[in-house]
This record gives sequence, structure tokens and C-alpha cells, in this order.
Amino acid sequence: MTQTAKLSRKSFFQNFLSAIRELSQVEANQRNFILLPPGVASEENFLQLCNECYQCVAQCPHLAICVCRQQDNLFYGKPMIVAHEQPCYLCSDFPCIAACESGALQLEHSGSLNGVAKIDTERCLAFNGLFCRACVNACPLMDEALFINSAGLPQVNPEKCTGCGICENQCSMEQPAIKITFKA
Amino acid sequence: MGVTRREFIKTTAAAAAAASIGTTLLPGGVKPLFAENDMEWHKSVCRFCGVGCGVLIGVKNGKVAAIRGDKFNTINKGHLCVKGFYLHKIIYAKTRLTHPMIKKNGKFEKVSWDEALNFVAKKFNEIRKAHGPDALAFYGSGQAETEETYMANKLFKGCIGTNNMEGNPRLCMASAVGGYLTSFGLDEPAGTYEDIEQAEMFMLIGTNTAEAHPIVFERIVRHKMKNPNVKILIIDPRKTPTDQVADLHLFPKPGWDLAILHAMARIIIKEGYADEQFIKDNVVFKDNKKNLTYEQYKQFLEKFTPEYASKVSGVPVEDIVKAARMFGQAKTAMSMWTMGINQRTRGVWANNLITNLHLLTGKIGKPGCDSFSLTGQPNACGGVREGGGLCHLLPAHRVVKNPKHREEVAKVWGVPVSNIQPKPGKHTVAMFEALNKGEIKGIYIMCTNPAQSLPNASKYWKGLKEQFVVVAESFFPTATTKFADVVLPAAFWAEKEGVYGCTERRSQYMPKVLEPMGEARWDAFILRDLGIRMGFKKEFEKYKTAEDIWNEYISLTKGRDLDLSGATYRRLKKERGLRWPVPSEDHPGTYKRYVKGDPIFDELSEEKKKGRWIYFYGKPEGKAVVWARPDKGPEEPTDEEFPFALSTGRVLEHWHTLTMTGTVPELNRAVPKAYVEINPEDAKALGIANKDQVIVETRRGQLKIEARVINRPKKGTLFIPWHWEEWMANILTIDAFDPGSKEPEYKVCAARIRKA
Ligand code: SF4
Ligand code: SF4
Ligand code: SF4
Repeated sequence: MTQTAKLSRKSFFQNFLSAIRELSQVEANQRNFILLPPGVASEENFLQLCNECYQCVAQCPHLAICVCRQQDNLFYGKPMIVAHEQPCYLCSDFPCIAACESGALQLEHSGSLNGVAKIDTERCLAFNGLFCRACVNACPLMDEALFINSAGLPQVNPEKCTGCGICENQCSMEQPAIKITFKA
Repeated sequence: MGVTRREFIKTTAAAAAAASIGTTLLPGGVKPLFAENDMEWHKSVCRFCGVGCGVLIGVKNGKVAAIRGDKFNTINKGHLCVKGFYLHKIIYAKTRLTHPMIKKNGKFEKVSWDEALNFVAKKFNEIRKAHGPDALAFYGSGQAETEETYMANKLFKGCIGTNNMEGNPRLCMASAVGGYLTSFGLDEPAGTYEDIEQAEMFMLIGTNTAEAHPIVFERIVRHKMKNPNVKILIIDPRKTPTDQVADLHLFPKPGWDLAILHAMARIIIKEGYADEQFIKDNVVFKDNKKNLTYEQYKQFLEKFTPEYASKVSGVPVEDIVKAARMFGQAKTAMSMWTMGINQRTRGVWANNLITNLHLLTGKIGKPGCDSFSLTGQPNACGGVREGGGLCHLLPAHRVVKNPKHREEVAKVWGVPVSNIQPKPGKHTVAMFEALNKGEIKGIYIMCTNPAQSLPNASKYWKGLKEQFVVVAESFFPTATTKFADVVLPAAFWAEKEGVYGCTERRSQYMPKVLEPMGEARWDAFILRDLGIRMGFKKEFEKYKTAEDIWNEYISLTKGRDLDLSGATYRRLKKERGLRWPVPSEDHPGTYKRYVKGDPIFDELSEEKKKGRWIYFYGKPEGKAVVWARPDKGPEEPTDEEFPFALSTGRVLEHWHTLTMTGTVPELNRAVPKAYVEINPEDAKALGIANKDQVIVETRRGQLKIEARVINRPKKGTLFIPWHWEEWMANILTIDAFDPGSKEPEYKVCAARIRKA
């Protein structure tokens, strides 16, 4: 288990080598997605306001927030969530937001994170004829954000999905077949 | 791990692609998909649930590298659930037990096979001599092969001479056995999976089919997709993934559903949905004491108005009426149930009441009609129900009480008939109770983990601690090996050959494709060698191969209702299993019992059948029984002190006590730990938030566990998946059992919950 986690963490960060310079210059779908803690108004806003005090990192009871350590990443030094390792459980009292003094994280934007789940249908076991629904069963908004459609396959409702990443975390593929990525 | 990571990803993706449905790449196809990988594929059966899916084991360079669904297997037609898909990883789990060990001064020490077996033989013989044969016991498993259970049966009942020979199917299927025996006179369903695609209506009661029998569910889903008129009625106290297909869901308070079934029967008769001709020809009525007339049965039902049933169960009156009409109006109907019905102090009765509906409407014996019990374990039907692996049974649906049966079996076993006691031995709960009391002093546990899986588990640790315990297992440690004095490494699935018999009476062959890991040996041969060392050389030395054992077993089925004479290894190796009765090698097996096409029915004389198209030959005059059973509630109803009804159950991704699925990182990640499901309203009232640590408490114990606040359990009920040793749900469950089937009431007890 730990072995797996380590490997995938490494490969996750390797993805960042194709680095991103300027958010505005690169089309969203060309850069890698970074999942931010809840309460972010917009990525630009977050980049401006977050003063890297790491209070959110310290306060998260689920150890969901880590710090981006990829030097040429736009989010270098900023708190982030690697859902594959530990997702956000959207605590009802949002200790992360409560701890944030800079205003980078705000309660009024806590309804969802900055991403949405997407299923890689080429790799998802269910789309390949196996009976799997680990992601649906894991989703806190099961049957709403993530549901089994009439064809018996998992499907995301982007309107309802909060981007918490629990599905990505619990997908039963070694490399998750469902991932949090850019909102459309 | 047997494969490198890259290779794994490649094979997973490829196998996944191969398993895809509706493409030309259906698995098991003629064209090998992994030509470049020179993978060799072997036809086998999934190790896990009672569905009995056919798998292909992919072997490369002497290692099992992938599993895929067998397209030609009629059960799963290439599909698998995620457990089956990851089977290959379990073979190479780090927790595989690879050498015998004896506990010396409180610590396990590696020993030779000779030392281990001599030690066990000596201890067992000492106990037997000093305290008699009934001071010894065997506790087996619905996951053991038929051959393995057969050997244990012979050693304990036939040679040692004790009927203290049980297995964990007592904890899961015994009530279904009792139900079939009392309703039809013979165990196991009349129909098969083939009925699914012909049914117009399904009643799923006490089953979370989507998670516990995924591929059966998959078949129901597909059938409904193609035929939107198919109606599905669910009766279950909890909303589950099975609800995906529900047309109507009744949520009874746990343990209070008997009145609903009676109320449905009453409506069915009153509104003219009963098949009066069928009833006249094929049915008799009984209550717990005497025979009834149809009129008297109707009288009995008068109490069960929908209003009464609604009051008892908490289900709205209109829903009960709707459910009854749904069942009555459908031309064909199939009911399916599993632990929610069986694991009850009135499990046999609940089984009877389901079958009543089929008998009253004549929805039995026809395509698309059956009262179909879903078996939990892969070989609970084959090895234990058919093989006779319970304390009152002998092989091939025989019972110890019957002198003729004892004689027939003793003859084949080559033992004096006096060896086999006429009195049933101790059933599971009684057996572990006797271990606690010291009446049983030595026990051999094979392929199961009772220290975790018994109800009210911690109560029974005392006996396991104090008495001489031998555990034959493929994995180490387990909750039970902790208490063992000797552990014996058992060959795992794919490292041994043998037969599994699944839910639909189908026996399927599993090949040996690998040598056992380390010094592990096949359970059947461990038992054989133990028998020889205990002094039963003549009785055991003749078994040289798995086929020897199988042949002897099927010779005992000759002429019985489960005739497997035609299911020889030669045939089973080629075919995707055979459904009994299969009386000869040229017989195709039986789709449906009690009707034309069933060789036993076909052979009945015309004067017996009197022109009837269905004849329940297990009962006098071939008439099945509609039972007027009282509507008793659970043993431990909720009260002020313990206001919640607690149920336990499974999740899709895990199996029983995690000895297998717990070794697969992907499955662990899918469901990493236990939780207690609580309804949002209840949670709010108690100030419990999602993921809070809570204490769940019953009269037997308490458990600290994470709360999952979710709209699945009804208000007033709690649910805990029972797989984890760390969060052992069976500390809480009740060990009260059904007086008929002796199956404990895992599914209902009273509990309370608070924030930790
Ligand atoms: S909402 Fe809770 S789990 Fe999510 S990041 Fe904030 S503190 Fe962590
Ligand atoms: S858990 Fe992963 S593999 Fe399984 S259905 Fe969801 S996305 Fe597909
Ligand atoms: S449904 Fe049962 S038999 Fe089929 S693959 Fe899953 S666990 Fe195995």
C-alpha cells in the first residue's frame, strides 16, 4: 500500500515537469490540474491572496492538505490537495477555512472545490465490463453527484459534484480511472 | 507481487479490455488476446461468492498474472465483479502461510510437516481416549472444496466417530435449507439462473444483491434494461445500491417482515391472484402443529390485514398492497433472498413465507418462476449442503438419524456402521459453547475464521484460548490463528484442483495451475495424512488424487435427488459446470426440478403423477406445503435503552474477514475501513457529524468506529460492514439462533450510539 502510494506520488509530481508558466497563457486543458483547498473564489484570486502561512495544512484533521513542492509550478509553495492520496472530506465546520487569515479561503466559496470528477472511460473497470462501483459507493453525494446510470455505468453530474476527490481516492484501479480535473 | 508494476498495468488494461461487453473482444474468445504475452489461460471458478462466476486464470512464466471472465460460462458470460478481477493478487499476498507452525511457550515456531501432523494426531488420539470422540470437533467452510469437506466428514463422522462436524454455512445457509426442506421436502432451489431472463417480476427480500451477488444483479439489470416492463420489488430495511433497479421498496423495521409476507398472501388470495387449480393439485397447508385446510389457512391469514402488517413493520399500507398486486399480476415471478432472511431467529419461517407466495400463485416450476435462495459462499451448496458437512448430515443430502443412510455411507467409507453416531452432533453455536465449557477439548478449523465471524464473537474466545486448536489456513495471521496451537499451511485456490457447487445446483471444476506456495499442502491431503497418523491407514491411504475422492463422493449421490453420477472430472474439465440431477455421463443436467426434464420427475410412474405437470417428490403425494407460521419479531427488539436496530453486512469490494481481499491494495483503497451508517436525521439529533468517531454499543460489547452519515439506513437503524478485525462488528451481534436451523440472528440486534 505505502509502496503504491509512494510510486504514484512520484509519478504525480513528474507530471508537473511539463511545467506551467502563466495561468492565463496556457489553455486550461493543456496544463495539469491542481486541486486547491475548499473556499477558493478563483485560482487567480487564490494565488494573489494566499500568503503561505500553512495554517490550513496544520488544521486539516484529515491531513488532506499538502504543499506544492514543484519549483517550476505556478502553485509552488501553495497548499494543495492530492486526492489520490487523501481527499477533502468537506468538514461541516471547515477548519481549513477558519484557519485562513489571508482571505484566500472563504466560507462563501466552500460549496465546492475548484475541480470536478471525470471518468476515464477507457480505463474504468465498469466501462470495461466489470462490476465495479467503488467510486459511487464512496461518494458522499452518492446517487446525486456520482450515480449509476440506466446503462449500469458510473456517471458524474458536474452540477452536483463538489470535487472533493473521494471517488479518485477510492477508485479500485491502481491509477485512478476517475479524477478531479478542471471544471468545464 | 508476481508481476512488475508496468506489466500489471498492461495486463489489467488488457484484461479489462478483454472483459468488455458488447465488443468483439469478449473474454474467453477463441482468439487469444495476449498472444504477444504468451499467457496460458485455464478455465476455473471464482474463489469468492456463491454466484459461481467462471474465470480464466492467466499463467505466464509459472505465475498467475491476470484473471478474466469466462465468456463461455453461462453464469457470468464474461463478466466479473471487482473482487474476482483481483483474485490473482491474493495468491501472492505477503500474508500467505508457507510452513507448519506449533505454538511453543506462547510463540509460533516453524516445524516440519511430520512434527506438526504427529503432534496433532497424538493430541487428538489422547483426547479421544481420555474423553471420548465427542471431545473432538471439526469446523469447516463453505469455501472449502467438496473433496476437502468430504475427507473431513469421513475422518470425523466415520473414523473418529463424532458428529461434531460443522461448517460456517450454518451461519449463512442453514435457514434456507430448513425452508426448502419444510416447504418442498428437499433442499436447494427448483430453478436456476436461467429463470432470471424469463421473469417478469423480482422480489428481492433481505438481499443487497448488487453488492453481495453482483453478477446475478448484473443479469437482473440487463434483463430490465431490455424489458422495461419488468418490475422489481425490494423489501429491505436499508437503501442499498440494489435500489438502482427498484420499482417499489418496502422498508420494514429489521426483523418485522413476516407480517408483510402474510399480508401479501392474504391480498393475493382475496383479489383473485391465487392459482386455485395449482393449489388444489399441488399444495397442502400446515401450521406448526397440524395440517390445515385451505379454508383454515385463509382464516389464519385474516389477522394479517395490510393495516396490521403496516403497524408491525412500519411499512405504509398502500405499499404492502402495491407489493402484493405486483407479485400477483406478474405472469412470472422470481424471489431472491439471502442473509437478511436467513440470519434470523425465524429464518426458516421467513423462508417458508416467501415460498408460500409462489405456491399460492403457482409461480414455481415454470420458466421465470422460482423461490430462489442466493447462497453466500462459493461451495456452501456443493460441499456442505450436498456434501453433508453439518453435524446432522451425511454426504448427498443424507442425515445421520436415518439408519439406512448411515449404512450406505459407512459401506462406501469402509468403516463399521456403528462408528457413525445416530445423534446429530453440536451445531456451530453449541460447538463453540462446548469449547468454552471444556466439553470439547480439541478442534480442527479449516478455511474459516470463527474468532471473527461468530456472532457475539468475544464470548467464544475463551474456549479457543483454552482448548487445543488446530487451524488449517492459507493466510496468517487471522483472528483465529492467534488462538491456535498448531497452524497448517493450506494450498490456496489455483494451487489445488477440486469442485465448487454454486447457488444454482451447478458443480464446476477448478484446475490446479500452480504448485502450492512454500510447503503448503492441499487440505484434503492434510486430512488424509492426519487420518493415517491417527490410525486410519486402511481408510485413507487409498486416496491418491482429487479425482479419487470425487469419484467416491459421486458414487454416493447415485440415485439421490442430487445425482451427480454423470458429473465426472473428465466431463467437468470440459464443460462449464453441470446442474444436478445429472444421473449419467450423457445427461445434460437439469434446468428445473420437479417438472418435465427433471430425470427424477420423468421416471415417476404415471399413476403417481396422475397427469400432474409438477410433482414435489420430496413430499408425500408430491404436494408442497404452504405454512401458516406465526409472525414473530426479532430476539432482541429495540427498547428505550437500546433504541437502534443494528444490522451488519457486506460491501462489494470485500469478502468476509478480509484474509483475502484485505491483501489487495486496490480493494483496500476502495473501502479502507469500517464505518457505521447512520441516517442523517438520527445523526443530527445525536450531534454526530460525518466521519466523527462514535461508540456503538449493544448488550454484548462496544465498538469505536467512524460514522458515515448517509441516507441509506432507515431512521432508527444502523448498519456496519463486518469485514474488519480492527472494527469487529461481531463483538456486537447477538448469538441467539433459529430453533429450527440453528442459524444465528446476525441481522438484528438492539444498539445505541453516541459520539466518542
Ligand atoms: S474541509 Fe476538512 S478535509 Fe477538506 S481541506 Fe478543509 S479541513 Fe481538510
Ligand atoms: S471505482 Fe474506478 S474503476 Fe470502479 S467504477 Fe469507479 S472509476 Fe470505474
Ligand atoms: S460475482 Fe461473485 S463469483 Fe462473480 S466475480 Fe464477483 S465474487 Fe466472484
